[in-house]
Amino acid sequence: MIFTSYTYVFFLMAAFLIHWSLPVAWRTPFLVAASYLFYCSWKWQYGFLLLGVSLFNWSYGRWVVSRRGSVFALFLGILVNLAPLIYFKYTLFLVSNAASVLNILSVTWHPRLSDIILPLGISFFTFQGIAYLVDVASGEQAFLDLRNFLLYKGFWPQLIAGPIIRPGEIRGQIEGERKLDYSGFSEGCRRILIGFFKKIVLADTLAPFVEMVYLPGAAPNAIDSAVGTLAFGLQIYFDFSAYSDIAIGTARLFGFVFPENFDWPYLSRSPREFWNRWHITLSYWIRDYVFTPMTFAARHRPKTVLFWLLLAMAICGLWHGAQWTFVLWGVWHGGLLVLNQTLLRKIFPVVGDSARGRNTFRGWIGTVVTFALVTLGWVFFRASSLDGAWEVLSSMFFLKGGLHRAVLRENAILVVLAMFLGLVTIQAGREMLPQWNGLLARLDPVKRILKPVAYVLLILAVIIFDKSAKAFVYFQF
Amino acid sequence: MITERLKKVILGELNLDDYYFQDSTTANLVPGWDSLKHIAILASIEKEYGIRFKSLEVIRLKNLGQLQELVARKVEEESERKGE
Repeated sequence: MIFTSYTYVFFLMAAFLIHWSLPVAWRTPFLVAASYLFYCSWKWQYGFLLLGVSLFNWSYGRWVVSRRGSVFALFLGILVNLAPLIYFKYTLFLVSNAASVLNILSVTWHPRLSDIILPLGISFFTFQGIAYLVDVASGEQAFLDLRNFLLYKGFWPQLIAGPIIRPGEIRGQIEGERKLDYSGFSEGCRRILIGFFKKIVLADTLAPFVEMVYLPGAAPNAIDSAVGTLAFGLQIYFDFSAYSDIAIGTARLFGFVFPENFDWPYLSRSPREFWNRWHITLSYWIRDYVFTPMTFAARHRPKTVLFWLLLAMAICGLWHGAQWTFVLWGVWHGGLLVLNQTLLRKIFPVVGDSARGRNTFRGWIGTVVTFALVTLGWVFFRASSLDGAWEVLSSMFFLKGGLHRAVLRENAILVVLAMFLGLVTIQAGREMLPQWNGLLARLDPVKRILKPVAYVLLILAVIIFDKSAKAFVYFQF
Repeated sequence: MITERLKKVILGELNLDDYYFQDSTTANLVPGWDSLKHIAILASIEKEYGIRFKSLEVIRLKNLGQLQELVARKVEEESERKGE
């Protein structure tokens, strides 16, 4: 069941009505049942995997990790969580790479590999499970009630592609009584509508242009590659932030407040800041559960810290997909973070320095450089192979074809540039907002009239653009 | 309440002259306090107080107040250990 489908809209409306008409004690079990229905609508057999992993984490967290406090017990729990992820996601990658290495060593091995269907959301619920056990081991109280834990682990808005929520962020909301007021309801609906707009009108419009450039054998010229890569940077932002909007909005309708996952990432003034604004919950997960333990263990060898940064980002890349292109994307970002700390330190404003650096020349230079470097990195993320990535990059850097296009039509280029300029304008406007507060206050009566008109236009745009429900990019992870 | 001694260690690592730290201050608010500096700050605190943190203790830290509490607890544990 894809978020941007009529099936999901009906599911959501039915779940909403039933949920709030039930007695309080039945609401959590109902949400658990609805979540499993949502998950099993894709492939019911994998519902047992989710249930099994959930039962393990609940019992292991409650009776083993929280009581023994031993690092070995925690390590074992993490391994059990990782085992299904490694099997379903990385078996083919590991075996085929092992075969390649053996072939180089003149040992002939041709393993017979068949495709393994990846359970939806496994990367997300695995990371969530690990976060749960680590947090419990470090003193967070384990969930005592199984129903509450099943909701924590399986609540459908966050199940497939995050946000990756930690127990401390949501425990109070699960265990306490949830309420729905007007502001929660309107905010929930607003976020869902914005998510639908971003996904159906913006991201899905860009998708075919990106596909044309990145199709194996497409042979794009420089201008195609540049515009196609810019388009992908926009597409993945609209797509994934749309998913997060719908997830956060859905959760609000049931009285939950989820952590934000995006904060205008393309406004970032440095690669370091980018990771505080892009896929925030994953970024913090990698920082807290991968990078910090590694660097902490090696804290008396401070020179190794940049290596651990590269490694943590390579793991972040590999988490996205079992391909070397994703590893390279992670290493690219690791490299940018290293440069942020070393050679390019003077270009980028200091992290946390919100007063200085914003709206200054250095700040804007930092934003432009960061956007260009991040966009270049999307080549590795989107290309289906290393050869494909090289084809796009080489055509860009060797200015293949000059100003002549080979793949994209003029109107496609115009649409991409218009969307880019639209985003730049909105972002710049957002940055200037504090200076315009006086003017905006005077425009309040106009805003009150324009708001409903804007919402109606958004709904109409979604209906007009809705051709077929396309899966979210992050569903594949 | 953040002690002057802890504040001095942190400011020294961050190359800052002064900063108004509160219990609720989080690292992302302080200029230059990123995940790399975080580890360097923890190592400096260990050196200053003659204590050793465990990684699970460090993972849970959410703000400066919690860091101050952890330092106080470790110092107490260390002095008890030496007293035995």
